[in-house]
Amino acid sequence: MMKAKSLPLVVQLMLLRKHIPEGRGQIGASRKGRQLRWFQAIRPHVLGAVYQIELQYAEGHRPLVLVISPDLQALAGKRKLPHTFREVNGKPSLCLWFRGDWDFSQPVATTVIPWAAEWFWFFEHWLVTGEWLGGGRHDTPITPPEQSVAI
Amino acid sequence: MSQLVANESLQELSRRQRAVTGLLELIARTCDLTPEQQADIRRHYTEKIEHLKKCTWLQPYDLLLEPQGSVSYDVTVRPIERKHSEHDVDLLLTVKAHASAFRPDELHREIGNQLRLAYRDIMSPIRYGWQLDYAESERFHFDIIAAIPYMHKGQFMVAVTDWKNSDWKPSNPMGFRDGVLHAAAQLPLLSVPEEFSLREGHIPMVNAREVVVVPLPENTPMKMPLQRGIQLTKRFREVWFARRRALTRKTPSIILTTILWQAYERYVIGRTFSSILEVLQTLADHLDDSTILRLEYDVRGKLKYVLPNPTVADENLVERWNGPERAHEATEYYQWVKDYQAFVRSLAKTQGLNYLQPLLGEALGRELVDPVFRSMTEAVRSTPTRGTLGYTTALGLTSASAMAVPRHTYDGHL
Repeated sequence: MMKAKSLPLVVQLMLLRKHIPEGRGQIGASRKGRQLRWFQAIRPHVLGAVYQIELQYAEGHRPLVLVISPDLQALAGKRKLPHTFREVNGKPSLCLWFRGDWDFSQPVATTVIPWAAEWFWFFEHWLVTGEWLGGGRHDTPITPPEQSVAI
Repeated sequence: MSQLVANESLQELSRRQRAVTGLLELIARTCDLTPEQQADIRRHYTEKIEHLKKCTWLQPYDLLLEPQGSVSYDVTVRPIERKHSEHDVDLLLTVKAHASAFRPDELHREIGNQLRLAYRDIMSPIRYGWQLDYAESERFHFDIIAAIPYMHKGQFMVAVTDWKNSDWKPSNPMGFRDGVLHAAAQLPLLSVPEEFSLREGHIPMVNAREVVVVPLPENTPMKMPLQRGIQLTKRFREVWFARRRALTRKTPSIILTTILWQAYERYVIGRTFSSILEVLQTLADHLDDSTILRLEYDVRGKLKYVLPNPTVADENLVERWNGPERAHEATEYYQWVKDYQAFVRSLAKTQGLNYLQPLLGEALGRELVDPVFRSMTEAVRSTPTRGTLGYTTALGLTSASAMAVPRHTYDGHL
């Protein structure tokens, strides 16, 4: 089966601006090469809180969703945050999908961003009950983003 | 500490208020009688009336047995103090006889004798009648209050058997019911239209299973605002007094129902509101309205509380507060009302399901609130909902028209 063609970063940015006009972003250089950086507010539900996130998408690498505010660990107290990678620049990085759920041909605006909104819904429920109702894989070791294999 | 909303647009505020209303509706529905319970109630009072008709002493008279109180105007809450959280069902047995036909204690005795033939093990006397306790088997208490048709100060009503004092006490439960339902049917004007789920029939039918099927509160239509307002207030009262181990002193439902009914007529009907939540806030704000629950001087110059019964002339529903034995009930009333008002005000301002859930749980009881939040959260991942779930930046995840959210699996340690 032919591998789907990767969406260029410029197209990803265009789609983000189309679907999420309140956000802002740009494409620039990073040590991994060209990188899209996107900032927006996100809420899981009209009754949910508002979170500020940064999407970091280096070409050929797994997009990362970092939570800028509020301080998730402060909310969680002593508990380990669920479904997160190791922090990047002090910010939690969300584990939103498993291998196969996403590839470079898919727009992050219609996949990763809504998955992040979902994550916050389950997170808010987890804060109260200690129970993660979002399902997921729970037996893989946490892999730092730098060592991620490009999907 | 709750996260308060700052710099929110009016549109966002309206959406959030609507969602809070829907959430309150989902929680309150767990207090409603299910269709099965309503059918059981009908079966029970049909059975009781057939049994009472066999009583030789009662045979000269026509009998009518019908629900009164919270069941009759659809504002039931399950009392917390009961072991099985069973519903109280008040039934009015009207014996169509003149007051001169027999004494109240005679009527009470003969009804008791007849009931005892079939329900000896589950019955006990109460102030104006008899209680049948089905709590273990069916989660009900039935209070059968005996009455006769009665004319009081030019008003046609009933008189119940105050059997201990061998007296007839004027009462107008059907007039009260009609008054509440009439007021409730007059919907407030909304600047942004919201849907109401209209009910039919004397005991409206509710499909409680909708609580699971409908995952998102902003699309949940509310029962008539006055009825839900009464239910939520009653439930808050239950939890408040239960936390203080003082349920024997809780404010009687007729008092707060009357105040809310009067407040609804004066401050809601014919006025425009931005949301149903604002209506509920208005009702809460007037629970201590001094023009409804009045403080007046009596003939001796002593201050007394007055809450006229709208359906029985000269009856003061809070007369018990004016005696030394129960004066503290007035103080407690104002205390819990103040806490309820603060709770309702904070609902509009609180953002974050992790703040809302504890706030609602503390006020209305976690046993009601937690399952609703759980159902809502589970529904986000459930197969039937996935096809309808979308995302917008303004609403977050929503079942409104929005870009669909594809399936995925979270990774990493839990």
